[in-house]
Amino acid sequence: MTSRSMIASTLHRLRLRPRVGLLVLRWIGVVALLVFALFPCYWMLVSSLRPQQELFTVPPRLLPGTLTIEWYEVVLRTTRMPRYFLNSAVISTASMIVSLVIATLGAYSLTRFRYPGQQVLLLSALTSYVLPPVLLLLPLYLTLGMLGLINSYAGVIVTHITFTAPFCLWLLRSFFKTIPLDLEEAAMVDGNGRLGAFVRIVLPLALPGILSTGLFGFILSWNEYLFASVLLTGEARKTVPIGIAEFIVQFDIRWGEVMAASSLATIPVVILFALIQRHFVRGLMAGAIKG
Amino acid sequence: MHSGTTGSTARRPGRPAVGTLLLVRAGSGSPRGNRLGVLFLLPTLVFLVVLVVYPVAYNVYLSFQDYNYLLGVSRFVGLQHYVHLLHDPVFWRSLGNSLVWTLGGVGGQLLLGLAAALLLDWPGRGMALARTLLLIPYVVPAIATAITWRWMFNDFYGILSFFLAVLGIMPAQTSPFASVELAMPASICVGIWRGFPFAMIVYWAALRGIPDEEYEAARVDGAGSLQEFWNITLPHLKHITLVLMVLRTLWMFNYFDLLYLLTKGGPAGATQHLPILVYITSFGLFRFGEAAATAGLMALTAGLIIVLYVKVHGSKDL
Repeated sequence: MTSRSMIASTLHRLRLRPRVGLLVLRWIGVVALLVFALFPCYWMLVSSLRPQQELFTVPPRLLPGTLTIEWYEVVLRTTRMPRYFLNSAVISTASMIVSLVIATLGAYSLTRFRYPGQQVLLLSALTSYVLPPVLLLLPLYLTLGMLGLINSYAGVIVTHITFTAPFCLWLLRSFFKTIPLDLEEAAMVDGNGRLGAFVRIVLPLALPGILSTGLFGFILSWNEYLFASVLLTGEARKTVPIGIAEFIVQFDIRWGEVMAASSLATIPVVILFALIQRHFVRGLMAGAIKG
Repeated sequence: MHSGTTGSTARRPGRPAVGTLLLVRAGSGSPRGNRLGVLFLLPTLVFLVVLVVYPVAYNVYLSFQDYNYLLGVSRFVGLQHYVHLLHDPVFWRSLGNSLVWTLGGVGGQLLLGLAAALLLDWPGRGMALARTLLLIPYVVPAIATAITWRWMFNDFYGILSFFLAVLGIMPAQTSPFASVELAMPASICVGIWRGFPFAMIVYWAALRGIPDEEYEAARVDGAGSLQEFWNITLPHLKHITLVLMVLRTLWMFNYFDLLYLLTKGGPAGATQHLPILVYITSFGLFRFGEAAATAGLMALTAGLIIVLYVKVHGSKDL
């Protein structure tokens, strides 16, 4: 009786052990990945909260001792960073809105209508998303210069639309494909015109997708460096990435301040992304990536 | 966290084409419907003409000009810039750096992304949270990414430099970004960190899309998990791998911000890839014509890479 139950339990354990082993391995893998992905973020944050003497220790200490917000005070009180945050917010918001208007209408048209040259259009839209930014850099710089739009919000917004609009178009196309067509047809049978069906049925249904796509466009614009660095040379219109990059040139890298400014630039986009990532992932799964 | 909702949509990729046909018949058959379609398309058309076709054409034009921005004079020189570039060792070195940066980055991102997706494709608790957290590097601004990694690799106070020195991989009190040999590998690591979440989430979505029945059938046939992976999982991922390769290759190849902010192309040009070369030629040396030609050759190279991929894998896969 006992020997039999012992054999049974041994068998049970033998069968179970590889599974438990696999589970442990899987967790080790996940934790290792999390450390790889999040340690730089942790280090940025911790470094921004350390007083001078703890920032520069050999060997560096993993866990923070005393915490201070003095670097944040310095950045927000004595530098132009607050102004740069405002500039970034204006530019990113405007880029987002313009791209959304272009992309929502365009994606709806491309998914619901058929006309000659559609494949060419789709292909150009995809191509425009993968064009090297440096290919557009000089033509846009010279043209915007001719129009007197250097050091203006409008100039940078135009350049940011070159990548946010194709991105939004591509993602929204896949969102629109997932909206059941019978709903639209029913609305049209009920006496709504095509425009009515679009405004009353498609827009409300696609709204979460549209908003999250737009917010991702906002993030792309917020993070951009190349165009902004060329177009914004005056103090009044610089964006956050340009401002942080200049910390390094101006001073002999004051790490505490730079880390505080970087954290301030990162936290809003990470929070935004945490809110919308569900839709982003769903958009990818709905086939945005397959085109 | 959200795995319930996203999981259910994963198994329904796209809508059947029948519905589209129905709507096309009901809607755009009438002239009014078609007019709305064209009207909606107008902003996209304006965008494509003004912000894509026009700048690209302008760039081609510029590349045939000897344009001195400081003096404001410009004259036609034909293919001179292209000929000059093709004989310029700096161009070839930058192209080589571009290829190393791209191949290393894409390879690392896809491998790490696949590994992460396989680890996360599992109904365990906390997987949705882990997935969300792993996506974070993808949205950290390039400037913050570059600065933080430079700080971690700081010669005296960098935590990674310290650990690498302890492990004997690097001499003490040095930064890889100051070394001609190590600057590129270190930068590629940062590129992988930044880009792997995209590959991960795409692979993860693809894994969710594999029908359970195929695994069940294999299990009935007595296949082990390794066989399952080899015979079912991998073939299902072939197509998405190709798409990812193309997308990530273009992204890495075109990506200026991260590498420039990490190294500015240094030390001694060891990490100067084509976008940095264009940037320096234009806004460092103000040789706009030559920079435009460099950008043109870069776009051609990108196009060539795509053609190569498609040739190797067959165009129907894309």
